[in-house]
Amino acid sequence: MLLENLQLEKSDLPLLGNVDYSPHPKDYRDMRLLILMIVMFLLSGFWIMQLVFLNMTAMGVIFLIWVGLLSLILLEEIKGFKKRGYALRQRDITYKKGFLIHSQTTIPFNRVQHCETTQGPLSRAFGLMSLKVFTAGGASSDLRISGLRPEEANRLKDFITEASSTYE
Amino acid sequence: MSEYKFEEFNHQNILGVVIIFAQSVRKMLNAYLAFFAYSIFSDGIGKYAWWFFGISLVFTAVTSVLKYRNFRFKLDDTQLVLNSGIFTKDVMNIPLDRIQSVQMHQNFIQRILGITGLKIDTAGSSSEELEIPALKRKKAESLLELLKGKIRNEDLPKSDERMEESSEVLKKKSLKETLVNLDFKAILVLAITENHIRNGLIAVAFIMGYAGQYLDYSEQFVVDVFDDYAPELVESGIALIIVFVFTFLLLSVLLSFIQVILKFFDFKAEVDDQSFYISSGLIKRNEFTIPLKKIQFLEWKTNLLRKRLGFESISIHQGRSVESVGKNLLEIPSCYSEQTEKVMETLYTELVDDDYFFLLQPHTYQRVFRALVLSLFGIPFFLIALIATEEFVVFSGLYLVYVFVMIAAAEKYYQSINLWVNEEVIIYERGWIFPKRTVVKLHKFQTVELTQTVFQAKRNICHLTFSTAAGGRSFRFFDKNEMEELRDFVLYKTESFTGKWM
Repeated sequence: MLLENLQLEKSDLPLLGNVDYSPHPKDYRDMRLLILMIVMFLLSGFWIMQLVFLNMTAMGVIFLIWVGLLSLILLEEIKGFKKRGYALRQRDITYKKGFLIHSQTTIPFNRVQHCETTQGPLSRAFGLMSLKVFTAGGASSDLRISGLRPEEANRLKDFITEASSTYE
Repeated sequence: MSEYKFEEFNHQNILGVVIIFAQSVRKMLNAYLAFFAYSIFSDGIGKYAWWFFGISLVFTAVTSVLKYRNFRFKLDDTQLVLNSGIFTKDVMNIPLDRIQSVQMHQNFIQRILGITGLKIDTAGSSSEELEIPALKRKKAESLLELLKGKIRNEDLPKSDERMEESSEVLKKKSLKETLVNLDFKAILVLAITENHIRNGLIAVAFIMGYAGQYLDYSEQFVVDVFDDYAPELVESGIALIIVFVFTFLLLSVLLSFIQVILKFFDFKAEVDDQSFYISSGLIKRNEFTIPLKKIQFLEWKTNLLRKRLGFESISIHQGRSVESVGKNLLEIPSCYSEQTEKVMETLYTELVDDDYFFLLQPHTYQRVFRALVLSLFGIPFFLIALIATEEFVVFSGLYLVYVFVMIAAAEKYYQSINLWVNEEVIIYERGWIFPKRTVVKLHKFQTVELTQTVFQAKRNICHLTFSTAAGGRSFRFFDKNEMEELRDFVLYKTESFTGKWM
């Protein structure tokens, strides 16, 4: 039981770097791009309004900033999508994401409080579902994995719930 | 007792529609109260407001019925399952051993309708949503019994343990040792060495925020006065600044004294091998018992003055739970080295210096980045001063001096960062003017996040963020290979730990 008293060499550690990550279905990227387009469309009204009040130079500068931002976001979305993925191990789940800022978040199952799957109207249209893993304490340490197939999300939820309830 | 089948999905009592409706209407009123009050009394939009109100009510009624229809719950051997949502479908699984407590709950409307709500506390972040608002009293009672029974079954060994603990506490009560006992002189020393400027700034921000509401009225007054006395004011500008700074400092010091005396009067901290016991306060006396197991991490803080006098303060970070928000951070304000040693001895097994598994320093890029950020941070101030006075040479020179000071400061800070890890704890030490030392037991972690920007990828550096149930800390700009190793080590430690951690 007292595994923690074993002498441990650094080379004996189970490595997280070696695991394979499961990617999201392509639909998830399409959904994100669609949301991006909707947001852009809504914001474009704001820019057109500016056109009435500003002169051409100011407009040009704003337009350039706008294009720069947009291409950065598109770069993040398209390059970043390939970087997204989750990995299950026997005792923890890891989710990685992000191109410009890449992050890998790991939650051990014995620290999970509960699990939830949610599906909004848009993700239902795309046949996707989100999984939320809650830990104790603040929301900053919770994990959310969006854009999973419903059966996969539910399987993950059941697996994590099962795994976390075997611990004290 | 067994007339209800909780293993299958259950709906709530049909009167639940009324309860949900009442809850939604109250939320709606809260959100729109100002709007309604305004529009009813101003004649132009008055009648539209009634329409709007009516439509909202109908809409709320419809959603209440849908909410009622879609809310289902079931209880099996290991978990409680709640299904809810109208447009979104939420399925929530709560493992029974994660439930901290279950309460019956009746508000006014529920009492009139003869219906009981059941609240479930899980210590998670979204615990407010975990409520079954409308059950017939009998059903609620039998579900409560069932839940309590199941929780208690799981809990049996634990409560035994607790019995043992409490009898041990009884036996060892004489062993309770006084850790810190502040007399008046110590409190004065504490007050003098406070960070006055920070206290003053917090007070100013607070007053500004509060005064902001009345600013509209006072603005005209200030403008009038300023117009009348403008020439004199400009003439005595420098004197005014000096007076202002002096007053600010004086008030800040006074404020520190009041705060420290109110908070730490007759401060007493005791410790045995189960808990910390802390009592303090002049007007409002607070007493706390903190079981050692509940402690998530400790942080030692000090400043240059206090370091010279040889003492530090310890912040005790406990796990966040719903009812104790704000009470989760306790402080032992004054600890000399022997008291620190005592705390370390109580909480951790003996730390041997050469026992460290990792002993790390951040990448040298850390100081470059810090110097850069600090230097850029100064630009607006110097630019404003330069434009205002048109003293180009003076302020360029001053800025150059500022940059050199910042580079030196960044270097000093870089030298002060140390990350030590042994088989039991992580010790993260940093800071030069305000040194800090965070000590976390390895198995307290619940989320580990490794972050790397594209720019850091080339240099192979990254940040590693740990979260415990009482918040977390980031180790920034360390070598990526080392951090991956540390992460694997911490995960291994957490995952192989089988005891209670909060």
